[in-house]
Amino acid sequence: MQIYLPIAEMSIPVESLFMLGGFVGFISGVFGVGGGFLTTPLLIFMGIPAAVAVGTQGSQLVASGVSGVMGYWRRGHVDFMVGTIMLIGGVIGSVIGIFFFQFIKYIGQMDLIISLLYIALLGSIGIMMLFEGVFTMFRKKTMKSEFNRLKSPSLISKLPYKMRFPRSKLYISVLVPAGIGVVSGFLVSTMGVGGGFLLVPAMIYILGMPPLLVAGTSLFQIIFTSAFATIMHATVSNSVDILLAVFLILGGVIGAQIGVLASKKVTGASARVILALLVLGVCSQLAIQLFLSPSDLFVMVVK
Amino acid sequence: MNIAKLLILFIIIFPLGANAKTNGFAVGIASNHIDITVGFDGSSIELFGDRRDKKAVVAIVVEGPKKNVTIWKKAKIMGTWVNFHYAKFKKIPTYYNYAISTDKISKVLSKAMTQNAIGHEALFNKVNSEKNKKREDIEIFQDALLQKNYDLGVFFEKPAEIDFINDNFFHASFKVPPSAPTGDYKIHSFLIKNGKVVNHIINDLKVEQVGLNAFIYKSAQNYSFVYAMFCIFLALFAGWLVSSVRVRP
Repeated sequence: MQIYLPIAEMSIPVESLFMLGGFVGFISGVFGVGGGFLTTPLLIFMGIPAAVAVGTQGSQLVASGVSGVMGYWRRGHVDFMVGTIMLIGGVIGSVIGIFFFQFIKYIGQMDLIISLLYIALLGSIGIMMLFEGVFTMFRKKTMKSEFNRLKSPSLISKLPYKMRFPRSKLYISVLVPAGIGVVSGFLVSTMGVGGGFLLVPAMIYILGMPPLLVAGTSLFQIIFTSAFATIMHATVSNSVDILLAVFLILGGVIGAQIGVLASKKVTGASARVILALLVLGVCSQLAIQLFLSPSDLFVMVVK
Repeated sequence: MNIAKLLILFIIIFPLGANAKTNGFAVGIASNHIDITVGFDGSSIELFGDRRDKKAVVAIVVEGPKKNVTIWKKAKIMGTWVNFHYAKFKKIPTYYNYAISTDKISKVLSKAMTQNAIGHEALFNKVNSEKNKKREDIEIFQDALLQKNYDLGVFFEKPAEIDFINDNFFHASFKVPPSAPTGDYKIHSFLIKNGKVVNHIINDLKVEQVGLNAFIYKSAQNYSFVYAMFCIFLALFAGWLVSSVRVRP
């Protein structure tokens, strides 16, 4: 069945949107990742304009963020103070991101920059996950102990505007969580990804937050940052398609439920290796287009 | 069917004001709007006409709203394929389809076609692309523009057909794909004799979203902040709903 998306102004089979939402939802259910890093490139592969793909992805992040954060909130595993400081950074990062997005659109290099950002992003997540997965498969030990050495490097402890965060038992410069927020806001507004895969390690190893509070706090921050990015995209470039969002969210919900059930059987290091290979597959697909031979030499821009 | 029957048909098909008739040439469209609903899967523009002079050539051009188009060509810069060369084209229709009643294109006819933007080559006639580019360089970009639009389904490699019901009455059908741009379309009907346009009728057609789609589109355009808040509210609600019915592993 075809459905006409009012903002993307194109007709697309509704089954393919459900399948995409379901697939990404399944991945997020099994592996506990957001999956935004897969949704945006797949939407673009399907022919949705990049601006609409990125703009709409924000509202989907709000939905998945809320569904995720509720559980942590009930158990008290959200540090609202750290989250709020990160959120302020997130808003600044979103504004920078939106203007960067408009700028690359203006100079006609959107394909290149978005592809490069995705190659860097997917390449680094893929390699990190592959490394971690293989590492745990053979050593049966987490890498946390090794990473902990990075905690509070001297440069970070010298930064001004220190503040006490009682919930996380931290005394640290507000610039650090705000800076992490800026990166997250930039990722949401330029690439339509929540950036949990970057935030979580940054909050553990740079901020030194208790791991128990990290997931909930990062989700809390992502909800508001992506809500803000959605408002910006909707008002600056009119690129949020509510119908597209509804189908992605619906597919995602169903996929995530199946994914959670399936995760009982497929968890463990080997599953992470599979996910890593999947991510690296999408990454290399983009890299081939960019570095080896593009399938089409011409690009049409209509104004 | 005799002529009298067809005449009745003609009158039924063309309600008041839907046709214009002068100099033995009349054209009308079955509907002057195409509604895009949620389930829109493409449509067609049905045109009926009457020409008194059997020897005159009928040509019809359907044009969507015109926009400026930039075609980029990638080049390898430091090992990376980057949008590098470009050509800008002004006022290119976002939808273009045409039909002509003869396949014998004489020199004079070809000239008339070029002057009246009939056929793909004529699209670039008055176009102001970069002046410092060589002719053959521009042609590469023109071909790419056509190819891109063929791929989108808004230009057509083969012109549409004009079916003559008898010597005078004709019918033409123009496919409108699901990806058709919205806006004001113009349907130009030409009557050409000995390479001269003796009659030119313009019909207007509106392609627009209706119902829920129109509501969403207009809200997003005119009340973007309220629209954004609604999107967020919906996402918050969906997220909350999911968290309260979630399957726990």
